[in-house]
Amino acid sequence: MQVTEIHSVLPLLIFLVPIAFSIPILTLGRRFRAFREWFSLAGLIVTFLLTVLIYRHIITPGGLKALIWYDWFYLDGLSLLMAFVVSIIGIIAVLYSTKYLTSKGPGSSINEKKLSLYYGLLLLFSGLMNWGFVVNSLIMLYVTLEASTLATVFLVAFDGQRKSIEAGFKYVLLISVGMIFSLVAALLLYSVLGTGPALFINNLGGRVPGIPRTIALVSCALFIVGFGTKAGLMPFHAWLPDAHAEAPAPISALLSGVIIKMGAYALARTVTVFAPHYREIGIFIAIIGSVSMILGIIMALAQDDLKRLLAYSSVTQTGYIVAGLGLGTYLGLYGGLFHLINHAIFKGLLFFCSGALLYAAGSRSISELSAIPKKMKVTAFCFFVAALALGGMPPFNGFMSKFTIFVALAGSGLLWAAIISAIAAFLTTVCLVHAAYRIFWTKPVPAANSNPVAKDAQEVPALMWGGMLFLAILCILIGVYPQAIYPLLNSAVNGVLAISAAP
Amino acid sequence: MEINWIPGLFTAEVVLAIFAAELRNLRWATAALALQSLFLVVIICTFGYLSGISNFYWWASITFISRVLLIPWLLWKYMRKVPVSEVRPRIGLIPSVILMAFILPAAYQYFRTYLCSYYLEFLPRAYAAIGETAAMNLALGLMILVLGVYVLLAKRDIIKLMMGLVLMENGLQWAFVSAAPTVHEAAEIGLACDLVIASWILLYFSKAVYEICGTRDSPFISELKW
Repeated sequence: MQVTEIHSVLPLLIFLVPIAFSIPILTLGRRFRAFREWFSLAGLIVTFLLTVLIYRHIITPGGLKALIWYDWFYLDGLSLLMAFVVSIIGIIAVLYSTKYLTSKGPGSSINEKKLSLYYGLLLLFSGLMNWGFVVNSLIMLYVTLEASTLATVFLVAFDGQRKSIEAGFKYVLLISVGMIFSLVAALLLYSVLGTGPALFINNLGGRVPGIPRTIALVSCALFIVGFGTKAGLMPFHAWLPDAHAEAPAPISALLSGVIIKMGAYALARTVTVFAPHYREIGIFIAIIGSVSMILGIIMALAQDDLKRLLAYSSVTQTGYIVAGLGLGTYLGLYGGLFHLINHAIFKGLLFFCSGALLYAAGSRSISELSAIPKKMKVTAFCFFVAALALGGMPPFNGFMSKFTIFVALAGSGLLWAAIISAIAAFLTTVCLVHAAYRIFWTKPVPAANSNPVAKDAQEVPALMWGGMLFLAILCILIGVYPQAIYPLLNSAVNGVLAISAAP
Repeated sequence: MEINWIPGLFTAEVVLAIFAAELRNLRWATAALALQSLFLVVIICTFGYLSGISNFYWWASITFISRVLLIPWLLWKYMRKVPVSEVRPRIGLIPSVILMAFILPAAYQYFRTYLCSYYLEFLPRAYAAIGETAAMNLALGLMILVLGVYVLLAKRDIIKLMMGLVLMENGLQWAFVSAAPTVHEAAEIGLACDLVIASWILLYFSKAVYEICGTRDSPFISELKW
């Protein structure tokens, strides 16, 4: 892959723009409402357009290229893929929030000051995440990951209730502790590689053969603990169900769709680079991934709280992503990154649906929701599409990515992991479709529901279901025509492989 | 330069870390943590002087502001409103000291034997004169990190959990003294800012948890279960 040194600020804008937009929202949002919803929407749209611009004019023409900016920033197909996911899910989340956080919805107790904080932090952490996707130093990668955690914690604890405060505390403590291990891994690499260019991400692949075997394996294990905590990989997932369940629905969609992907991104930048040199790493990650797949979905099956169920299924899906990325092969990386995008789409969609149910029926308990009148047709359609996609059913997008991971695992001699992934996919389908069936298909029994709001449950406003429908259509389109995102995925995979194979 | 006083500095750093972990009065524990951080600053400056790398002084300044001033100030301010005695830990004082007497030397020995041999092998010749002392930094720093993990596992008070996190970070910074002679200042600024903000956020949530639940005992505030 050709690496082009540039002195343009274009790659910097994808993180500077959202951060810059967040400042007036945080400072002036209380006085000028326009600085809240629409300004944050504008910030994310500009970021999205910048990402498109970089993709169209720099990364793809004339072969796959990466941009490097004074060794400080490194931007390739993988960075752009992640930035796309952040912008798209972010835009839908902002549109959704404009109605979700109103006096009629679950945000009835939220005041003007808190709304400014909400939109400001939403944009700020989008910027911090994009920053993480373009940094070229392992230490700065840690800093941006940690900073994005700190920016999101107030969103997790947004409603200020006991459970959400507790979830916020757990979230920041567990991720901060976990992430320190990734810093220890960087320290180990520092201590055997010296300093200077060694720890620039774009140089890491070329230095791996010179790292003593023990240090390489221990560093990878520590990276897995650190970044795996951020990704919500079992057994480092303890923060995830609480944070996902207690955050407002649009933030849950962002947590599951975007924030945990930052951990997967960091793993792709570090552990995947080591994987071609050490087969043990691939096997170790396949084991952890398989444990996540199975235990995550078993925990999900036991939940009555819809958001907790979805949170545990995120643990399962992270297992798929990481198992693919850990192989370090083209097919494994392709499957892992494909599933990363797909998971952002259908899990985001499922969390938006759970928010719609909470908005309309005032509950997230599956037993209570099973008693609501069946008038939410769009939400029901979207939920079923997402549930089937998450379960890996054809012709939805989840089938394509899960099948790719299955083939990649089997092709790498890890047939047991492939079988586990198939079993987990089956259980996921059972779990999600059963929940969808109970909520949307069973005969309503109003007497069974003590919640008075549930009796009048109607479809949510268009600004909420519009984004959901868009994501549902994406689930179908990508499933039917996966070639549509092949160029983007191919450039992302080649970006990772280029670092692994760097001289 | 005569560097015989360095082992004394290292010993004080370790002893203060143990005090910060074990003192039941949280104000005293905070003071021990601040002093431990101050000794960390002295260690960073010393190695800046010995290696002739000016970045270390930047690093020491940032560490001083964040760990010696800001974090203890935040803790001190917080403790004006809550009881200063620690919630009874999982492991009592005597068993804890005995346990530490086994864990810490074992951790040090492990890091000194395995990691430092690699470190010395790969150390640039320019730093050969301070190699042995720097290797000790690495092993002791990681040992303090292990102590931080122990605090997180053995303590129940959410303030002590936060102190465990700070101890882990302090240990890591100490270890970085040996391994990061040319780390750019921006990275340290980022690390320091992250820790200060993380500490502030943790204290904010600790306060909120205390106000809602009336306790700082972590097992008792876990309404959210698996």
